[in-house]
Amino acid sequence: MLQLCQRPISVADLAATLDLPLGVIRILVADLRERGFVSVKPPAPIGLSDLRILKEVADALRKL
Amino acid sequence: MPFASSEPTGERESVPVAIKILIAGGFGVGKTTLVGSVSEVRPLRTEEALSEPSSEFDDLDGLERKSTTTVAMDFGRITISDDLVVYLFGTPGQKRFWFMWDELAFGALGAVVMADTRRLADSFPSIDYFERNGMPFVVAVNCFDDARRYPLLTTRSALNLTPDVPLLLCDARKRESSRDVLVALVEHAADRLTAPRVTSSR
Repeated sequence: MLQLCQRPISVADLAATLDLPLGVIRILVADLRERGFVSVKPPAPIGLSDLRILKEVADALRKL
Repeated sequence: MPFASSEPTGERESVPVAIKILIAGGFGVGKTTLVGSVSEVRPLRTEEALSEPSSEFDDLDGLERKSTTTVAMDFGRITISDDLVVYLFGTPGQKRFWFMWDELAFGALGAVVMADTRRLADSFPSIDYFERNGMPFVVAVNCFDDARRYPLLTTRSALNLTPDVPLLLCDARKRESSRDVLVALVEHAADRLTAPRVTSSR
């Protein structure tokens, strides 16, 4: 888990990569955070001003 | 959804913008299939063989060949760029997992409610949920090979959808089709940002 956390990674991605249930990952992350091994940050928030981001997402999805 | 990092807390390692999209709808409507057809990662499936007791709770009419079901959630990812990632979460179809919905819905951009014309009523709870919660959503009718096709207008009225909710046909097995559903949702969410609904008519 610490290897995967070298760069920020979503908790859901951790669960998918390690093939463990989300609930288990959350407990492990909480334990690692308590011991100071990882930090947990909320994702960058999306607000009213982020129309530009939505346009970017729609354009990128169209190219899939 | 939160990000974990082993970087020292002071370090300003940029956290990607995460766009979270929910895939909802009744049991067996094709949520796992849709997530799987567009995701770049193998969907995180927690499917279990349907057991006898589950068959008691889960209505299998019209789904005789369904032998597995999603007991927790599906997870899919589409990386747009280094700092922009779309996450797809399939909500569990069975009523007994609805307690998970509020948590899954938290911070989501919007939802795709999938529908099967043979079991339209199965989509009502999802539609009600997102209407009540004010989250932008689109309804995608998954065109199963053996299901009768109905005009969209008929389906719209059967689902009692307000005119502002986009309704489209899809084939969840096809990547382009699933992609179009996601594009419709993102565009709908963008429209709602520029012209927010003042009141709900329901």
